[in-house]
Amino acid sequence: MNQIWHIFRKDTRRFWVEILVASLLEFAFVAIYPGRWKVHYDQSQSMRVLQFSSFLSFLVPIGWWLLTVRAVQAEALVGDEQFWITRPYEWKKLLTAKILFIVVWIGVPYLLAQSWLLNAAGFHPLSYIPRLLYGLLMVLAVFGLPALALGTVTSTFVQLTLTLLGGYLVYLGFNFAVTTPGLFPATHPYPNKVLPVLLMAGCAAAIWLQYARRRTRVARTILLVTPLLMALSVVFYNRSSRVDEAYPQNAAGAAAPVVLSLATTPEEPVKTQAWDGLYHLNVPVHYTGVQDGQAVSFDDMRFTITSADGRQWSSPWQAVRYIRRILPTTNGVTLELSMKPEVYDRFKSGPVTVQVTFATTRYQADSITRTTVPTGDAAIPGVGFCTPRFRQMPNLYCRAAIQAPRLTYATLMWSSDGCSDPAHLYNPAAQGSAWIGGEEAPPALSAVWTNQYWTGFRENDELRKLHADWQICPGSPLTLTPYHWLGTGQTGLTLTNFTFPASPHIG
Amino acid sequence: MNAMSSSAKNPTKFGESTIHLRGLTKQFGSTAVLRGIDLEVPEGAIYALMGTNGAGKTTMIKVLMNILRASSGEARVLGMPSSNLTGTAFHRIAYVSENQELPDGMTVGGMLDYMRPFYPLWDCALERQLVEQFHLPLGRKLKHLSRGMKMKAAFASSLAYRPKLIVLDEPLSGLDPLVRDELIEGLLERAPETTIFISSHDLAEIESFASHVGFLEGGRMLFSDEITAVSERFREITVTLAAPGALPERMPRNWLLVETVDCVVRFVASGYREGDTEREIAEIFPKVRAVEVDPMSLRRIFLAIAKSGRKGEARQAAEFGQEVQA
Repeated sequence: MNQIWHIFRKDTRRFWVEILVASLLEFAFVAIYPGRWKVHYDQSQSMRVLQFSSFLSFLVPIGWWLLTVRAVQAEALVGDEQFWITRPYEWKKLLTAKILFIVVWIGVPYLLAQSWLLNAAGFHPLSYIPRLLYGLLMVLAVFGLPALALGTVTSTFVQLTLTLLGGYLVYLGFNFAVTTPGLFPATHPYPNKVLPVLLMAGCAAAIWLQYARRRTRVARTILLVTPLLMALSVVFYNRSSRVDEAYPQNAAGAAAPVVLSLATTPEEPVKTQAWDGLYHLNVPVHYTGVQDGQAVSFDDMRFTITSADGRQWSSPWQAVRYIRRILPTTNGVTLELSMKPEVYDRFKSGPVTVQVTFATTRYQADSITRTTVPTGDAAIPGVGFCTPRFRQMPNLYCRAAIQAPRLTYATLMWSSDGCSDPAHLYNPAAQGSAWIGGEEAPPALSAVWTNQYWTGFRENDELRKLHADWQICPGSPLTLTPYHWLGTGQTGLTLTNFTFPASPHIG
Repeated sequence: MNAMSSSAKNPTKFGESTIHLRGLTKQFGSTAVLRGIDLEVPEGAIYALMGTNGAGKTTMIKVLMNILRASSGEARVLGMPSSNLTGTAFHRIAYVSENQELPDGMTVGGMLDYMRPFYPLWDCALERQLVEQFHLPLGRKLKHLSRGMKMKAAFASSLAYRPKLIVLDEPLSGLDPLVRDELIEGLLERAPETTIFISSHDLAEIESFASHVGFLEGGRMLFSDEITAVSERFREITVTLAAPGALPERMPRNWLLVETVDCVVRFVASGYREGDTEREIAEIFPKVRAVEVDPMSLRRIFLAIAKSGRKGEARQAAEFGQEVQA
């Protein structure tokens, strides 16, 4: 323990400037970050400050990296001329001292800063200690471990930076190679669970080899092979495999959570739009069968086109646009099928069969909470704190502690007379709605989660067009229905004798 | 200096092996840098490892200090396999190298303060003495020190814990004579209680205090012996012949760098024995007018071996010398 403490104190004395810089960046970030939500109710807040907070969110991890790498390279593990390798250092104690340094000078400021941020956002930090510690663990796993591993196989910060830049370019190249252009990113992340395991195992192996054996060549090889294995896992355990795994096909005879059917009319035919290098078929669909008290979320979809002469093309799993979540009361939306022009041209000549498969999640409603739209920033039960915006695209800007609130369906009444006459304040015909929460956010630098929810007539376009001047008012009734997860599955829609429009509309 | 030199040379009783090498080899890829080294360094010895640049001295020392791993063979230091030298094993071992990277961001005093708790036997009084003796500026950062001062700081931080073995890799090269004298003085004050293994090109200095010497050439140990035995074995011999004549085709194995000018033949005998060598000369050169036998300094021995090594005769000569000695 003495040696650990001794090395830790030496590093602290030596790198006090780096510690100061990293801590200042962190505290500057959390000092500015509350502007993200304050700007919605405090006129003195400047948008420029928000831009600066985005810049700081980029600098904070760099500060952590610098600090970690400088501390590791103080007892460089690369080379054979370092004075310390023939001194009575015990590798386990040396490594522990470096980990202690990272925990104390990155972890503790992180916890303090996040606690301060939670407090500033209106949440009591002590109520979130386990989640804060989990967040710290994520930060150390995502930033600390790779920085520590790269620090052990490089001898200078410049060398490490060049290695990182090279790695980033390779990553960009790989990403370019495996990404299908034009497809929308996943609405659900479907995390590849193999990737973090590979990353952590590779980093841990390199760190152990360097500290215990100083086998630089082997450690470097491991750190080169690790991203290769990760790339292979992305190729072979790709998003489609992960979606198939996460959304099992419904058992034979089991009722589908939702029944979909084509709903074209002369007024609303199938249209094709061309943009972003792809053709997008917009197909009006109608759905029924959602059980009372439930909601169905369309998380991903894929489709197969089969021509009369047997030619076939299948899309990968891709995000669903326009449709997200549906209730028993909703009925029709537009389904968008995106494909490359050459695929479109192959099948546009004749009738085809289009088999669409949706990855769906079912949710069950819980007890309803009734409240009113607050005048300004205020707590909303089950959600967190929200700031309403009453005019010009009304919305609720909400914040929650650590992660998104649970999935909640919010409805509120609009007013047709600009909130001036209480008698006409609540127009039952004009109900706005929004799905709040339920997002799966990746680990973030901030313990305060924020999002903006549009509370328009999202499910009634006609009303929206007719009553563009309507607005929500302080005191409008607000109904919140939280939902819990029931299960996942797949739902299909088959379009037979389907004909593509001959020429797309260029938009 | 003279008194210290004589005191260092005087001890003739040496203990068990502090360093023991058997068939040690080290290869970098297909290049063999050490080729089957056998070596014993007895306890209490001041062992000077000599060799030309690229002979393998630094590699050998790095293997001894577990900085590099041997490809094969056995290396033991203080009774322990060198591959196990780590952590607390260095409580008793000091290593200073000309190329060592010191913690440049620290002051001299900071480095000593930092190193002190690592060593249970750190002698603060000795530390103070070394700081005074080496005139070390405690408040100055190592990166602002001259090379000589840095080496002194490295010595101070390595001697203050009274190590049982001091391993030095070219510690004196490139230093001015004053600094060299100060370092050697500091080192020799520790000599009675330690074993010193030093590689150096500073042959004149080494000769003044080393008890043993080894010569490494092309990754092979040409010889390793007590320095007095080596000095007795090597002689520079000048033979004056009655008339000029060609050198015979076959020469004794232990004659190095044989050259002739008119009536004079000069060579270095690597296995000199009084009487025997003169008889050998008489057999090869029947009409000899005079034979002059001169003792050689370590430096001249080193040069003779190095030059003959380039001619490819060093190994056989040295082996012969060892045989004669045996």
